[in-house]
Amino acid sequence: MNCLRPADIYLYLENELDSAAVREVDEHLALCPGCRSAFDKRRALMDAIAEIPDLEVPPDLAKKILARIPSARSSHVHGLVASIVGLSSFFLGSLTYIILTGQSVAGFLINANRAAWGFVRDASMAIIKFAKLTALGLDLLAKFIGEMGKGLALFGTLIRPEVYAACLLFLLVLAALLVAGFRKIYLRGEKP
Amino acid sequence: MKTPSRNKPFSSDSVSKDEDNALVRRALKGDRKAFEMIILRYQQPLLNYLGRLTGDREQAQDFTQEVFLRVHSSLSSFEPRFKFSTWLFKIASNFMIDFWRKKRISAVSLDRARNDEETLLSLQVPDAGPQVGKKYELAQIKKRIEAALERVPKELRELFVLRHINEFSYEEIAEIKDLPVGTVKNRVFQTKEILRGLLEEGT
Repeated sequence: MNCLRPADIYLYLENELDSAAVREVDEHLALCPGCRSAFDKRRALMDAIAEIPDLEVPPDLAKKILARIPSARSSHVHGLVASIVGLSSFFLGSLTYIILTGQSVAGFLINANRAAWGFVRDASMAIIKFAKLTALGLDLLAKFIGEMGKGLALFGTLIRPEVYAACLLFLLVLAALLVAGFRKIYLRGEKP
Repeated sequence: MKTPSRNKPFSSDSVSKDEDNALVRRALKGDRKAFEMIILRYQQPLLNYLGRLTGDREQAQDFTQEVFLRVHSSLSSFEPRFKFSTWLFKIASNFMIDFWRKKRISAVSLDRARNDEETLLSLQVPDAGPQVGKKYELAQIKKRIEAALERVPKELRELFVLRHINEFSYEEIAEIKDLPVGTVKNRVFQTKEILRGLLEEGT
């Protein structure tokens, strides 16, 4: 057998070799002082590795983890309690309204029904209008930005690059000054 | 994980697998006691793993909590044909990968490690040298090996910890890390050679 490689020694020390290979290693170690020395070094290392201590587990670790896991039962209970509180509040509020206004229960239910449907209708219309306005605004903004880009590109082809850069810088400074000026006026409470 | 193990509270792999699967089934039905049993079984190996990778005990305790929470929320995806311990450590390993990515810790080049694998396997053992093993004093060894381990690149250290602290088999580590068994073995051997070098440096 050739001299042992570190991998052979580790496999031997970790009982990962079959019996024939173990016998070969044993026979070689008996004959080769160099490999015996290398073997002793790795065995010392494996002994040192076995001394690596466990880290201390805090005694309340499991409890801390469990406390962060909501129990299925408690979430059901929470849901039930919330439903009961909500329904009770609704009935109590309705009863108070009926007593204070002197309305009949049937009249109250009809009015409540009308009010609910009216709210749903108005809210839907408002949402639709808002969505249309937002889409229109975004469309205009996109067109404006596109046209501005084209204009700038055209402007860039007409004049020399350094003049173009100077113009852009001037416009940026102007924009910054305008923003700063409007901010100052706004903070003073004056109208521009 | 192999028996006998300092981290392993089981009598045998098949028994522990059946017990784990039964605990998972109970935990999935909302049995908190069953999940507590799972925590008690795995908190020590998991804390050791995370502690050796972060090098910070308090952070390791926080991470242990986070990993168990991830395990709890993913229990329904556990497939009983796999070992629970390897599934749990796969979650822990992914957790550490996410953590390192967030911390932008530059990954240690594994290309070099791969190139070194061949070198390591063909490395011939030097002739007679000082018997360093005999110089070790037990009390000092613990400190020195812990310090040396912290200097090992994280990717190599992880495989070493899974093998020699958590005592997983090479096949189980290959499953956890999605690597070929041969690669795992070579990298663990390489880590041990690095550790040996670091320990000898200090003698």
